[in-house]
Amino acid sequence: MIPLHIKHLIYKEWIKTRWYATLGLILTFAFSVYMAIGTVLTFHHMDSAMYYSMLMTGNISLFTALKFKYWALLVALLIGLPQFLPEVSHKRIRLTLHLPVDTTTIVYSTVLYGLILCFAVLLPALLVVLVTLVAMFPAEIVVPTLQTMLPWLLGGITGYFFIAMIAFEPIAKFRFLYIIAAYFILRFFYISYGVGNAVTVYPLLLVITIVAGLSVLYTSYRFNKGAR
Amino acid sequence: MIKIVRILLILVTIFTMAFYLPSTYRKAVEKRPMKTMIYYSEVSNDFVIARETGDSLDTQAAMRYYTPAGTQLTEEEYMRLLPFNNRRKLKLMGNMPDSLHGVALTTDVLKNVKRSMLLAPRSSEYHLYPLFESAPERLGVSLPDDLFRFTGDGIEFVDCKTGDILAEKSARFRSAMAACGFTAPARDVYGIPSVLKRWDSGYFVVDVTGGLYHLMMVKGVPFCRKIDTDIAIKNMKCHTDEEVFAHIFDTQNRLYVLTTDYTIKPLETDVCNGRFFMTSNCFARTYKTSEADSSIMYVFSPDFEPLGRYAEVVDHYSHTDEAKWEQRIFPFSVMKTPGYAHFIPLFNAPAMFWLTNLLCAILWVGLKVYHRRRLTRPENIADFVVVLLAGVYGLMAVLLYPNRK
Repeated sequence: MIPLHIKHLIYKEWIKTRWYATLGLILTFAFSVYMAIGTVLTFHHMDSAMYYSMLMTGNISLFTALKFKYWALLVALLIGLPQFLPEVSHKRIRLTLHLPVDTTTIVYSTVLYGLILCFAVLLPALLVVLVTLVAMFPAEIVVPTLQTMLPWLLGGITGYFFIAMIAFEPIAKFRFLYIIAAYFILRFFYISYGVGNAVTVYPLLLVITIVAGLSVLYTSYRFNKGAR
Repeated sequence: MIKIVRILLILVTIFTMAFYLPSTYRKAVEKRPMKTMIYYSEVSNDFVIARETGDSLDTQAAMRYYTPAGTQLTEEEYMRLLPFNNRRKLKLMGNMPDSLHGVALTTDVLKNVKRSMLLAPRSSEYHLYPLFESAPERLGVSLPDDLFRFTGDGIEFVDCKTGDILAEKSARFRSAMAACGFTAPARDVYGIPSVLKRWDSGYFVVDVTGGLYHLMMVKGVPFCRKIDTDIAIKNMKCHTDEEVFAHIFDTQNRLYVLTTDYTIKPLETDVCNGRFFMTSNCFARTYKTSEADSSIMYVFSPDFEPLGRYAEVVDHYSHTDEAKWEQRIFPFSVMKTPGYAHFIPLFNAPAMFWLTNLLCAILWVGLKVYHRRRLTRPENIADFVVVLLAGVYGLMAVLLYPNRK
């Protein structure tokens, strides 16, 4: 059962993000349908054997159109920026952090709300991609393709955590430095690892995602204690 | 909890810096190394060395050619010694010999030069393969309408268009493979899954017991042959070649050749770094590899009998002052193996970087003293250790995440 004050907090976040979430939902769904139709048409127009041959020799790749690898990160920006920017620019976040509730509870209610919203926005698009893959290709193609896509999804989650972390940082100088650090850390998720190869790098990416998730605690603590 | 989170952030940042900073430094300071190339002359049956001379930044770099004894060759002599490499120029100059060691140098002979990169690590791939007709009625290779894969039961053919399993064809190939001793599932499949080849030589399949099998489709009929070997195969590089089916790397990166008469011959190469550049013509086969500071060429006869080995020290970044400064500045670096998802830490010798790390630690202590902080606090001791061990990275990371409110 969610306590009432957390429900109020979530409602506040919902008011800030609902139109951006709707926009993200429409765009990602429309683009994924467009991309799925493109894949199906290419498969049928080109001889299917030729399609497989080109796929296996690396001349075409699945679901790389429309910068698909960055969608999760873009959704994280679309949700994270309107969620945290007004709080930072008007220092309204002070009010939230000084509510008579444990800071960690407040911070993670806000962050988890945003994370769940990001998933909700991406879910229809991911389902379209998954259904297209499973309906058209055997497991030998589907599994490595999904293995290649997982770091991109983790990159989106990490990106969202870093937006929250940077937003909570009270000192502008450090905020700027954290943006640079976050940019370079996020690049690990978008390196071309080769089809299905990324499996060996999952532990590293997972550790980075967990640390990014915890990093919100560090800057919110600094904010709450009034670091100068 | 906050202190643990901070340390974790510092460690992630150190890892990130160790990946980006040394490579950025290298890009900024590295000069193009002078080229040194080793060739094998089919004319003199000896090596020819080409060395780039002159500072490529200031003056026009020029190639100089030498024999292994150090005698300098003119460019014309160099070209005459290497007719396969300089075919076009020699013909234009009218200097192309008609024959060599009693073999007429026809266009077919001169053009029949094969070059290939042999790498021990496998590249990623989808585990689906087209089984081509190896004895087609017309010349060339045409794409089949199905693909094969290996399951726990054996080979299985899948229709490309519908995704349906072709039960009859699968059963036919399965029984042919079982008849020659194949035990499913397959551990690895090697071949050339492209139609861009002169003819098809099928696939080489390693079964679950480590046995090697040659699989082909000849006039629609399965062809399977067990190849006797006890090599623990790591990778195979297949070729479209009259004499060679494939090169094999074992788990120790030793190189073997599988000839078209199903003989596996070990190639006597003493460097096992799993990277060779192979060239072959009708007179010799050469395998070039490199170590940190040298380029090495092994030469074999067309029957893979060793003919010679030559090593030449090459201009390399690791010999430069810039590289030494890199080792002094950075205690370690992280690199990603090209094409793979492995991040490898490369540690420099402590004798190189200890001074930088010590200076960083002194600087950090100085900053703490200047700001009147207590050095004996547990978080400050932890920071000191981080700076002492990670040097430049550690100093930047601890300053990026202040431990004070």
